[in-house]
Amino acid sequence: MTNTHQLTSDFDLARAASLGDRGAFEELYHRHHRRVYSLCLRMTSNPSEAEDLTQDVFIQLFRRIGSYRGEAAFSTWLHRLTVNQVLMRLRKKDIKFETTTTDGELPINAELQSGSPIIPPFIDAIALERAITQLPPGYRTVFVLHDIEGYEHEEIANLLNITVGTSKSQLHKARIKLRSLLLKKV
Amino acid sequence: MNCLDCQDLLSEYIDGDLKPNKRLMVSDHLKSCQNCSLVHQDLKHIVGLGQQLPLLAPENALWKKIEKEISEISTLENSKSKSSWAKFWQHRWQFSISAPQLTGALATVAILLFLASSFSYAPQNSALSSSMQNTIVARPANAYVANPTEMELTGTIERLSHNIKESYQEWDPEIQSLYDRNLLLVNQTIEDCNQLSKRSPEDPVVHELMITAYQEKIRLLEQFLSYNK
Repeated sequence: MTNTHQLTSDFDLARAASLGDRGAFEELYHRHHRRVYSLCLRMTSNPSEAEDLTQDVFIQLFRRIGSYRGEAAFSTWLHRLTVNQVLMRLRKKDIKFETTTTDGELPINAELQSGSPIIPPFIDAIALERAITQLPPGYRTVFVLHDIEGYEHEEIANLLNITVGTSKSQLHKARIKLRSLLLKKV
Repeated sequence: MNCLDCQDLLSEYIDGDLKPNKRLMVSDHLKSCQNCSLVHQDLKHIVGLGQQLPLLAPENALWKKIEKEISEISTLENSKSKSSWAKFWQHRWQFSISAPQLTGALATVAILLFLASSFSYAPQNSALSSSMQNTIVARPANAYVANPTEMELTGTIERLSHNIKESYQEWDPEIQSLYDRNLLLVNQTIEDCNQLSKRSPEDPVVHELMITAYQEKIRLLEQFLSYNK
């Protein structure tokens, strides 16, 4: 990787990479690999699988970079590529996004939540990270896409082929489940 | 509003997705119910934490793995491109092409043209309106209009062909024979495209094929012209 690439925009790097500039591609990797890996890890809860997926994403990127036209921000384009790659992997595992009874988890039915004890302020991101890994895959996917990655319910519904109502319901159940997991740690 | 109904709507309340009347009902309930208010605070806390999660990094060795794989892909793609037309012409220059190879190449071109022809003549889908079909039937058979790229290419071919004529007699008979055979092949391709274009004058695939055929002819003429030098 050459230092000259460090001040170059993603668009210019992508164009250079599509013309065979390996240094430009490496710079794109260094700029974006943490975001790609984080997304893969949070959606799969498996570090080894997340690394495999990250590798797949960048190989796909290498193959497709010539088709990037700059119509969307490069990071958005890459992010969508990543989400598609992860969802494809999850579908191969036959994970259903409509129901969440996998891993022996029963769906959370409407039940009254107790307000006491409240999650204390010292419960931090690390605890939440651990709790996310314990979510059933369907809940986890919607929670990661909405609350961490900032997707709208309409986008999630399109990606997962579910209704907007299901996406909202899954998200609410994911949050409730996370609350109970975090309260157990107190 | 009871507690169960309120808690069911808490996520939408936090995300601002509720209609004003329901929002007001939840808001009023939260003011009067400590239990639901604490659940509301917890969920808000979780949403806030989710937005602050740090980025995580994979093992450092991951880039090396990716680098290795893309090197392999590049090598494979380079070898593929060498084995296509470029390699074909390179072999031709070495006079190493045999009769079976030439026959094979001709057969390949014929198959490609046949496939292109089948594609062009595939029945129009049912969505095509009858008025459009009538328009196509009513169009004169030779209404193909060359686009600017094609006109530019034919101009180039004319110029190069003229230059070739001037030096053709000076070539070795073997070179002349090689040129004649290649020219025949390329001209046949162009003629086939012409036939296609008469039947489907506005088919963009036919224009694509025509341009490719012209470019092949230009490449051939340029290569033989460079032989002079």
